[in-house]
Amino acid sequence: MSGRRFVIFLFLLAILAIFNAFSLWSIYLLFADGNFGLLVTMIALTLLIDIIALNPKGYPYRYMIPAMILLFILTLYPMYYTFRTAFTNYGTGHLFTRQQSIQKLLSDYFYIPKSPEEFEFSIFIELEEYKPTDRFIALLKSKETGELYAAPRPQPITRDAEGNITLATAKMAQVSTDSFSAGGISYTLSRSPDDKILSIRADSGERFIYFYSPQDDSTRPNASFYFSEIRGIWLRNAEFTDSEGNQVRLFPNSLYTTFATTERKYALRTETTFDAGRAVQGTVVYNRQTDRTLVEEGGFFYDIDENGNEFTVEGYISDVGFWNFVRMFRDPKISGPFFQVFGWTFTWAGLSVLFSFAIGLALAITLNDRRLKGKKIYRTLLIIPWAVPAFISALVWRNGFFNETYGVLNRFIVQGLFGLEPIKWLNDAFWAKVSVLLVNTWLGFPYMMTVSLGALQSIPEEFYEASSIDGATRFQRFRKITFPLLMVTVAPLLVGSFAFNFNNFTGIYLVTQGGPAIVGASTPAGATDILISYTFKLAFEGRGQDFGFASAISILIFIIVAGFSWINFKLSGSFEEVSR
Amino acid sequence: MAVERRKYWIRHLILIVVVVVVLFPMVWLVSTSVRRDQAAFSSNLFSSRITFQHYRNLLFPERSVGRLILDLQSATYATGEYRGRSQEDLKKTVERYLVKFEALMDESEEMVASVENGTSAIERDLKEKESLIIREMDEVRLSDKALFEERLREIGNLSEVKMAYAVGEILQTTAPSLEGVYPFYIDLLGERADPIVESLETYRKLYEDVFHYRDETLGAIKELEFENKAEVVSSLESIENYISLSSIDYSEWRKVEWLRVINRYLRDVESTMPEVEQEALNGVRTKLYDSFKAAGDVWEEAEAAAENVSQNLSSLAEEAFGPEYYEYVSATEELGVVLAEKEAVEKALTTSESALAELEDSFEVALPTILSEKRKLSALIPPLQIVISKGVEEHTAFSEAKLKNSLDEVDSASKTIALLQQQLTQMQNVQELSSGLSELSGEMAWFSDNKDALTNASGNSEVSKGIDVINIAISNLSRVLPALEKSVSEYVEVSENTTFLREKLKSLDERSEMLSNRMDELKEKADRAQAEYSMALEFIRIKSTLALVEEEITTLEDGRAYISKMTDILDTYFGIKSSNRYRTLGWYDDFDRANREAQDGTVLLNKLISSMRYMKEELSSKVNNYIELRFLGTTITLDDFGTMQETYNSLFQQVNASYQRASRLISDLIEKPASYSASYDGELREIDRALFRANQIWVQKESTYFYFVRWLLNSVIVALSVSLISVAVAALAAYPFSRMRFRGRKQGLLGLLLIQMFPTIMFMVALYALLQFMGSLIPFLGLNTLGGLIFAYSGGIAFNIWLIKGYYDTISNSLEEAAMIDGATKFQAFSRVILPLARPILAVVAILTFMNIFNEYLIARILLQDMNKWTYAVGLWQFSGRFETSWGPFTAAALIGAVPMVIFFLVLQDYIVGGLTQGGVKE
Repeated sequence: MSGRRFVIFLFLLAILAIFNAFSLWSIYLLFADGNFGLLVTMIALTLLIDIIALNPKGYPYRYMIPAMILLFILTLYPMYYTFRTAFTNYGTGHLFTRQQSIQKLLSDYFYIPKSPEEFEFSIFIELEEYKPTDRFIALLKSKETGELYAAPRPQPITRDAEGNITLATAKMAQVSTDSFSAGGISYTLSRSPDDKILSIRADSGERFIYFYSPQDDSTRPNASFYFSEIRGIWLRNAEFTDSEGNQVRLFPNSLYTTFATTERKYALRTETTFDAGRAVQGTVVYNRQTDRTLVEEGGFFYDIDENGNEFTVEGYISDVGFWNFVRMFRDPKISGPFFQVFGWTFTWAGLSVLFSFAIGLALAITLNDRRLKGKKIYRTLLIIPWAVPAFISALVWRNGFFNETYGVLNRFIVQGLFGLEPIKWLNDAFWAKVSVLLVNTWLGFPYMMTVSLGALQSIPEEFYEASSIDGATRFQRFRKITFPLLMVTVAPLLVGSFAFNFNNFTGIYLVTQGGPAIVGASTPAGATDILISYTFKLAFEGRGQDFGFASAISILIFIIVAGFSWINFKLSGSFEEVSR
Repeated sequence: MAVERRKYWIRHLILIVVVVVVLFPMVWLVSTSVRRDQAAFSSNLFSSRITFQHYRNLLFPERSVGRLILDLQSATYATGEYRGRSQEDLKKTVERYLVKFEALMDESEEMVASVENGTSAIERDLKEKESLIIREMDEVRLSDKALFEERLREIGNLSEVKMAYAVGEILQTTAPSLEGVYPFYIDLLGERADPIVESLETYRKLYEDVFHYRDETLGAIKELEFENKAEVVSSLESIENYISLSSIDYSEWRKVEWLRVINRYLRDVESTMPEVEQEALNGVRTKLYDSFKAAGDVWEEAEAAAENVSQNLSSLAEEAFGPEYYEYVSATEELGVVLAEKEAVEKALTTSESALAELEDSFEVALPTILSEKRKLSALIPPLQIVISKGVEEHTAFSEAKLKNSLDEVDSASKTIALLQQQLTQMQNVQELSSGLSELSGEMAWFSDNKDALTNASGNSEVSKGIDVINIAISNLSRVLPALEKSVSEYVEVSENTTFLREKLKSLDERSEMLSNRMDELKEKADRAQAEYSMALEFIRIKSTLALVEEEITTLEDGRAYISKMTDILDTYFGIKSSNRYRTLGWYDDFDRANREAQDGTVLLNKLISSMRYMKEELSSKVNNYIELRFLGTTITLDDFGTMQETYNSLFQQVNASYQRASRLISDLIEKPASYSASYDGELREIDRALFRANQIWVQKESTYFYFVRWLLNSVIVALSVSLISVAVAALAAYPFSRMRFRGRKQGLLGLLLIQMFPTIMFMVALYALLQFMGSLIPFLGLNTLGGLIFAYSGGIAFNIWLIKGYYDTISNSLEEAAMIDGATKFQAFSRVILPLARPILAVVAILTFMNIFNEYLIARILLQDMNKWTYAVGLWQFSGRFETSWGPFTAAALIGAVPMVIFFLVLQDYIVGGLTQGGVKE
């Protein structure tokens, strides 16, 4: 091994070490996060790469390491995830694991006891260049005992999708002899001669100036800053914990002008339950206010109100077995639209291929003549619909052409040229189907024309010469020579095109968004929805998301498309290539 | 050879048609993106008024005044996108905006000047064209004349009767007159119109008399001096307002002028005059009054005569167009009446039928009671019969009375029931009730018949129990009967009415059928007659207009009057739009209107500019201090922004309205030229440009424009990175698949194929969570980052590996072997030999990936939240929703993205087609 090679070897080893360090770190984090799917993926990936890299026999595989990393994380894991999700009820109402749901029950729900301890409060703020900042300390004064507590700015714990804080917590420290300590820093109160607290000084040098208190009218000018920067952001969902572990929150009954102690609504306790006649000791969640145990059923926690009615409090992800697949066929409200979508997906893919192939072939035959002048120009012009990015074309068709009132088709052709009633291109089930097919044929025929042209040119001229000697007509020549020979090359491409259109999300979603909606469907199905757009709508649009069902349909699509591809490979002989 | 050539000609034609149809959306896209007007609302598919403003707005977004005011405010208050900027930065920004503001004001003034220069130049020049316009109008008049005469010749001669009838129709809606076209109509009628002519001639004499005596009266008082002379003179002179050759209003004149002024004051004057003069004046003024009065009377006579004549004429229909036509017309009229009546009857019938159904429903309710009581009574009869037949005699006064009482009630109920039943016997739908009632009354009759026997046995316990049953039955019935009585009487009434209506409907049906049959028979002849009639009407109308064409047009005013007279006839009989035919004058007038609109707008715009300038000066003098004040923690606000906004809103809207109107008119002027207008085209376009630019300077611009370039840049960054990563990784991974044999090779290749078939929609849920996790480890790979998006896209390499592997397979092994013999390692052989040779496929894969990623919007839409992080595809998708009808910006945005892709594709089409068809998948 030469010196240079050794350096390279060391370099690669270092990279491997860094990779291992990184993946170990992420494995640790994933474990803490409870994300076991990705965890397993990472472990498998790390082991695999280590083996490949260190085993001399692994040489061919080393080329694939980058590809493996990408495929494992970005393709195999999502695939696994989809399969996994297809057997759960993951969706709106069931967004968290059971463990997370229980955690939510324990932490997010609270109630105000009958006689809470109330605290008046004042806010002290740090200034920067004489300008108030959102760094503050809240000083709470018990109404009962008059004792003072101090709470630093709470730490955000959870945030919603927009990044707003949904829970922030801090510990309250009791103020004794005008000083307290929080977060390892001691603070001292400074009072005016008339015993009002003017500021709080930290050991580390910061000064917090008395800024606002709902109980003090003289601080009213600062109210707007308080509301927008302090309460609106930090205090709205703040929870202070006192030394006894009680939670203190802004008190709704006083219109949020005081803090008050609150109690957790739910807690855990062990309880004996009966399962198949046998007594089982188990941990259950119960409502501390009513002392009733929550009922757990079908991925939901139900609480019981004073009238004895059950109501949902939290749902969690649970396994439902093949329920999502069964639902496709059983539940008439789901299976009705599902079969409609299913049928249309095939019709759509079939007609798309048929129309674009028919037009493409006709044009290819027209163009396929060496003596035709300007062939290249025609071909280039006709290929343009293919060259334009499909999503742009789809949007242009939808906006400019299909709009009922302003669209070019209705105004200048349907009404202007033929003087007919305007057509509801996008709002009528039939015409919406016509619209998407029209656009897709327009988008698809150049491809068909190009491949047909290529195939036509590969048919030897001698065949035609021989046939014309035999006195075959033009049509006979087409039927007996051109078409069969053409199909040999083109058939796999047609199947491929069918498979592509089967999943042609852009062609549907950007033109009609799947609409118009199917009447009476309990899922967001539309008349022009194909399986893939239906899946998308199930997962990401509409009132509720249903990831479980969407995943189940994904798998179905996968099976169908794989089936077509199998046919295709049989036709084109790609398998031989693989085994060569 | 000739045949062959023709075939090619047809082939070319077909191909050209196909190309035109196929490329129409693209042509539309291009043309719409450069249109200056609102394409979505325009009635033209294409427009010649071109602008690149939409592109400029997207690629080099400029802050307009409307935008600047908002941005100045945000910057001063450090809100929105200016939040968190330093004080110095804000001050600089505000300074920059103020400079821009000033520049926009200057430019506005330039535009105003440019509009004014243009319009006044054209205006000056147009003055010289007036004589030309008049001449051209007169030429058009002559050609009108020729046109009319030609048409009259085509129609040929029509019989006098037909003409007369048609004139009669016209006269019905035309008041008599001695001027205009009326005399012409009268002329056409010949002696048929003699009564009118006579009265009108008399009227003309009297009319002249009126003026003659008016002048004499004026002469008579000329020398006199009296208090109200001026009033009297003006009153006398105003006589034209009350009498003309086509109208007269005697009573109004008498009331307003004669009684209040002339008679009143002149009488006073006369009383102070010597007798002779007094008589002279009195005489002449009396004559004036008398002649006016007589004229009024004669006018009424003339009107009556005209009425009379036209009535006589309308009776000519039969003579003119044959009896069939006459009958046809009257049948049409009658049919209308009949049909209207039929409709009313049908409506009444539906009402009464539904009332019957209602009542029958209520009978259904009564029926069970009737039947069950009937059964009770009939069940009661046999036991009582036995008692009676035994001849039981057992009664007390009390029991007798009780029985009698009950039986009386049975009697009275029976009578009611019999009456009801009688009423219902004829009704078909209620036979069940009717028979129930008749049975019931039958049972009741038994009780009446055996009254005596029952009375004798009334003390018997069975009888007395029977009485209880009877009482129950009667009381049950008494609940139903009154309601039934009422319903039955209503039912009878309604059903009689229904029958009546049905019969009426039948007769109406017959009548209408008869009429329409008759009309069908007559139709052909009637149609012909109708055609002749309208031809006659046309002839008369054209002929009467011909008289108007004779007068030469000598002024613009003449021309306008001429146009207003011609418009209707040209449109009705020649299908010619007068606005096109008289464009020479129309253009002149349109320019005038455009000019006025532009001037109105300019006045307001100047006002807007000066007040904005003033406010801007005010603002710039203090804005820095306010920024400082806000940085010191005060929440002080500046009222100036409010006032600026208000001024802008109120004035700019008006300016915009005027300028838009002017702009539309000017576009018409350019698109519909007159003979002399070509020389103004340059100036008009300049004006149009200035108007448009002025609008652009001021209009409130969409904030999305300012992100567009960012989106494009993001797309290019992402697509470029992904294609580089993807090619590098795939090129590496494809090598062993092509050159080495190892375990899992076949499975690996199949697996790659399988992987890329899995629908990626649901991947997004996983990827979302994945990127969230990645973001917590490596921030630039998180959600809502371009890095994260690039990472997420990099997973789609399976297909690329296949493509590249296929190409490697075509490269001969010997080259590598040679390299390895020379001492290269396997990796060196790959990187130094194979990779350079595979450059074409690597380029294709890179380009395909670039295009795919550029087009992808779903994943991007879900992973990217901030507007400035969006890719072009996500942006355009949002754009298309926001600008649903603002086609200009939308199409321009679409083209900016599409054109590079199309060029890319067309230049590299051979490679791309090869690459795509090889894998058998179209993307």
